[in-house]
This record gives sequence, structure tokens and C-alpha cells, in this order.
Amino acid sequence: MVITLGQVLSILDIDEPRYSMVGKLGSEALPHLETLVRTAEPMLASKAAFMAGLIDHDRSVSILMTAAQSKDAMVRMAAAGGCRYIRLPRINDVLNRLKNDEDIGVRNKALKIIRLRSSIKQY
Amino acid sequence: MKSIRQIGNCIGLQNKISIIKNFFGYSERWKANLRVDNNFFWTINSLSVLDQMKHYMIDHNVHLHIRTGVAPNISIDRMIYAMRSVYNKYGLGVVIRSNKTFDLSNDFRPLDVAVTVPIPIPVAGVAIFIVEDLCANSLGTSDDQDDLFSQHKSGVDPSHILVFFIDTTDPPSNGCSSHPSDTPGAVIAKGATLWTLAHEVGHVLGLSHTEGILGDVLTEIDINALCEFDHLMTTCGTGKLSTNSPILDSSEVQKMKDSNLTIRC
Repeated sequence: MVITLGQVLSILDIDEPRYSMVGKLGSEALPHLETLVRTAEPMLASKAAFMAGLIDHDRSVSILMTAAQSKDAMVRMAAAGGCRYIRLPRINDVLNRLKNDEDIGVRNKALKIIRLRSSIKQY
Repeated sequence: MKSIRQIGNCIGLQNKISIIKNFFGYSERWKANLRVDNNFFWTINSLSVLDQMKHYMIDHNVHLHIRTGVAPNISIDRMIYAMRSVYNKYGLGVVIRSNKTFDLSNDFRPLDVAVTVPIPIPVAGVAIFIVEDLCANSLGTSDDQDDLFSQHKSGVDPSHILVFFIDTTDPPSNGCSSHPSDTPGAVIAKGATLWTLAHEVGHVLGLSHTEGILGDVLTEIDINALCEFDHLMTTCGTGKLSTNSPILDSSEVQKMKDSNLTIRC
């Protein structure tokens, strides 16, 4: 199924995003999420980064790495939260970068996620 | 039309009334820092607010306690003004009972509002994780939310609403109205829209989204047909409201006035 940017925005660009809809979007949404992380204002970019982290895909890791290099701490915090469940080993590169971030909120979130991941054995 | 004294009585003021202090919630020192934002569709003008309150038949009030950890991109003044512009026309006053700043602990940056148990489902060979968002699903509160509200509820009447302005939530959202059962309130993120405060307080007062939860509707045609972009409680994003004066349904107004968080006067 082809997913449009408009469909992705209808789920994310709202007050309380419908993250549970990620199951309907699947990996087809990733190009749009990448665009939003790169070009949208920080609130929307952070929502897109988090949603990318709900899709266990190589491109998600790249998107989260892009978000991890954002100038805005809000986006970097979302990148840290987005690293929760991705199983690909490359995600550790994103977390290792974020745990050394200049912003203490980002560092704390990254460390919490690292601890959470180590406690979830199946992932 | 109500007199200033009647309005004062309505919000519990028995003695001297100060428009700046009692209607806006600021100390007198605030006057020295008053700035008029020419981009706003109404300027910050206490007389025009008073005029609204005199002309609208306000018979119920909602009392807010503002706690600012991080100033939002759109000023709190503008959000309060926008909220009043909707609530007032349905007879609901908005009273700012206190307005304080606080040091937002880095433990609350971001404020965790998710249940961290993943539910993986396969979609075309890719695992998708569903995170239960407490704000979207009214599933209760996180430890972060409990701690934040607990630290600031002292001195706040349980029939009043505590509103926190914070950095961001995890998962990211403009605002979140889930709150501990004994402390009504909401959090508003730095990137919120002009109407997020009014929208989230609407949730605290018992309102749901106008269009329901939209289920799994995904096609753009369906979404555009379902979204009510003139309603404050739209699920489709208050940033896309098509009006400077969003509406509430009569049933929503009645629900707000029936709430034990609005005070009849």
C-alpha cells in the first residue's frame, strides 16, 4: 500500500498523535518520516523521530541517527525515546552518541533507554 | 450584563478587585513588563477581557494554577486569551488563581507518559512496536506524571486545575490531560499550539474528541470528511483549526458545566 505524506501528517501533526496507527503505515511511512525529521519544525520532527523508532527497520536507525544530530534538544530527546525497541545492533551507535549529548535531559533519557533495553531480554 | 462586582463575586473576590492580579493572575510588577503582541488577533488588553466577561453571561468558572517550567513557543498569555475567547462565549470564565515558575528537573525532560511494554506485531516482515500512550488512551499516569503533580499540588484546591508548561513528553505530544485521580491537571509542551491549553483543559473537564478516536481511518479523503476543523476538541489537530473562534457543542458545554471542576456562580 502506498502511504502518502498527508496520511502520515494526519497521524502525527495533531495534539495527541495516534502512534498506534503505525501498524497501518508500516515501513512505507519511513521516507516521509525521514523528510519530517530533516525539514519539519521541532515539535513535528520529534513526533516523526519517535514514530520511526516503532518500526524495526534499517532506515529507522538512519532516521534516528539524523534526529540524534538535530540542533534541537527536543528532537534529540525524541530520538532517545525512539531507540527503545529497535533490535538492530546499529541502534547502539545512536544511543552511544546520545548518552554523551551536551543536554543532560537527552543524556538521562539515553541512559534510561539503555537500561530498559538491557532489561528486555527478548529484544 | 454583569457588573465588575458581580463578576468578582463569581470568582470568589469579596474585597478590593485588581484586574491585573485577579483576572490575569499576575502580580502588579507584571504591568511594567507588559508587551503588546501585534501579531495576535487581539492585543493583550485587560479592558477588552473585562468587556468580554461583562457581556458574556458567565455562570461557571474554571480555576487554573499555572506552573511554568519551560516557557512555550507561543506565550502563555496568548494561550489563556485564546482559551477565554472560546470558554467565555459559552458562559465559562477562566480564572488564573496562581502563576508561578519552577525549576523543571532534568528527570522530567522529557516527561515520560508511556507504558514501556512493547507489543510487537509483524507488518510485511517488519516488527512494529505499539507503545501505549497514556495521554491518548486515558490509561492512567506514569511515575513521572505522579511525581510532577505530587511535587506541586500543595495549596491547590482539589476542584482547581493544575497546568504545567514543560519541555516535551515521551512519546512527543502537544499536551497531555491524564493526571493523578486526586490532582486534576494537564501538561503542555513547549511546541504546543495556540489552542492546546484550551483543548487539554477541555479533556480535564470531561470532553472527548469531537470525531471520536477515528479508529483506524487512514485515507486522506475519509480523514478530511470526518475532521471538524471548527471544533476546539477536534482530534485532527488544533494547529489546523480553520477559525479564530473554535466552537463547542451544547452537549459539551453542558458536560463542562456539570463537571465538579467548574464552579457555579
